[in-house]
Amino acid sequence: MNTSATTRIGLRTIALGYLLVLIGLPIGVILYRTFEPGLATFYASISTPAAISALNLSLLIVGIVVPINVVFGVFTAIALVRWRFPGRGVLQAVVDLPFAVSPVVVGVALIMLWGAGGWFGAIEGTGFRVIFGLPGMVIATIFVTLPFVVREVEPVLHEIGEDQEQAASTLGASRWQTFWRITLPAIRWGLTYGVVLTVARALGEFGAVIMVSSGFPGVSQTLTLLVHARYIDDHNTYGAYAAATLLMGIALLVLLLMTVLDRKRSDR
Amino acid sequence: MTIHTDLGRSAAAAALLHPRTGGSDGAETTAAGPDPVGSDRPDHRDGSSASTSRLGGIRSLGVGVVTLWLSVIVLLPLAALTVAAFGDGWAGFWEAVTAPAALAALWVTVVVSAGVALLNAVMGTVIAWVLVRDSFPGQRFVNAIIDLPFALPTIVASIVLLSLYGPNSPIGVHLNATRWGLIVALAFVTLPFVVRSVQPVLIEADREVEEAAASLGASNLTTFRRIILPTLAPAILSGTGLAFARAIGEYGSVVLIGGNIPRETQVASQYIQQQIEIDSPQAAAAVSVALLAIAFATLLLLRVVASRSQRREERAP
Repeated sequence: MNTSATTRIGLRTIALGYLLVLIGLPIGVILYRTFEPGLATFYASISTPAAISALNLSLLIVGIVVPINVVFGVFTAIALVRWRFPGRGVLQAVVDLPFAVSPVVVGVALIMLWGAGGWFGAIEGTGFRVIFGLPGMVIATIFVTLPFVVREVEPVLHEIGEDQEQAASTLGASRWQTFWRITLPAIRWGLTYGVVLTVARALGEFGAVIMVSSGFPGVSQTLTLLVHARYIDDHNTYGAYAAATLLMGIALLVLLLMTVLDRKRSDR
Repeated sequence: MTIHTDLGRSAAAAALLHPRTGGSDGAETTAAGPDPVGSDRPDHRDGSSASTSRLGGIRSLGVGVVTLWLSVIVLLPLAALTVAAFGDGWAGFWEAVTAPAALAALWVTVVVSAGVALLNAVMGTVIAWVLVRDSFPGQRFVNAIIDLPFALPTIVASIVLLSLYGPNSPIGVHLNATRWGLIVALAFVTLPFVVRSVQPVLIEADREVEEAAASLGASNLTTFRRIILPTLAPAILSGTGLAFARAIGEYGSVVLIGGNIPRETQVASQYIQQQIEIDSPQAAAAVSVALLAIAFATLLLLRVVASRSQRREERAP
């Protein structure tokens, strides 16, 4: 289709105008409002005790969730790709389920399972508080990030096939050696990509976490909950902007990492 | 020039639409090939049947662990949710879902999400077109920007939009606590779906057919309607459907800008959250199940349509 210059420029204007109004301008305004009072004010706002403890809590959750997802994610991917067993198709579908569930619904579902009146509610009697405690936030984050590692590692496992692994075991390598020397190096970029997606989502998750957190500043507030609380409860709009800008900076970093990793993956 | 980087296509989009890509489809081909190690054929290494059964044992244990893991994290919570929703029987579920406020929230959610999905269908296609067929300085940057909504936490999206369209708007546009606010927030978080699903199809599309149509005297509009749109339709549809499925469950991006006004701007996820807050878990669970049902129905419909159009494509010469 040989579009005339007018059509082309018209479409370009519509597309770019839409992106400007929806993304460009709002981000410009928030950056301006965050940094207009000066870097010192910004730094002061993101280094209050509540902000630091929110950052620490977010990082703690990431620190717990990532290793769990890596171990279980790789294991699940291997099981789904390499092994035949009845019910494999069902498990495949279950891995995708978290993508279709609203974050708030995740929270409600976890309350129904782990909460005071829930199926596993008795566990609270032992002093292990899941809902309104750290375990709840961790479990909620695991739920929403569960598919990433599995889905990034699976295609790589398919692609590399089993020849090398079989050769290794023919030469007398143990399963463990085969995994560490053959499988893991082969899946490393896919795995890293999955981890980056997991980190981004874990830091940014809001709906599922707010449902299962008690939300006390300095105790059970993650970075995203801090943004919310500052805006809604404290009417501290600047503080909310500053915390949001911090999260945005992290997100940009993640986006950059993903671009680099994507190139690495396709180079392989 | 390939400007499509596929970055941050957020596994989500791809997986939601083709839940089996790289999954079982490919696995079936593997299964047709040589048997995987550990099936009942004699083991390569030493040929002893003892080793084979030991491997089988490890494998069943592994399958057990994976099943248990997925059950505890994903299936049991959803099962507990469903049971709670029907705690007072079918009547209780129905009563909770058809309570005026619940119905209103579900209605607002579906209507606004459908509107946003349609907006995405049009604007997403235009943006994809401009990114593929046009060329202008800064195109790569614009292309990278598209993924930003996937990378940004939803609550940040909320704040970002409020800074421009909220109470302190520098341009005097106040969308907070209106349905327009909801639409802007949802359009922001669902932007990448249609763009990223149409873009690769447009890159692959055969331009000779378009040129042939033009040389036969078809106008641009006719060429678009008869040649391009049919090619893009499956991709537009799937992107739109994914955007809809995402929009109906959204919470973080609408929580600040939406205003949470019952019957006006309160969406289903906010209603559910409110029910938990006022200690009415059965109602929260019931509306959650209704929301899940809408999402699953959408995704199921998408897969049916996708597999049908794929079959039609295979049959075509």
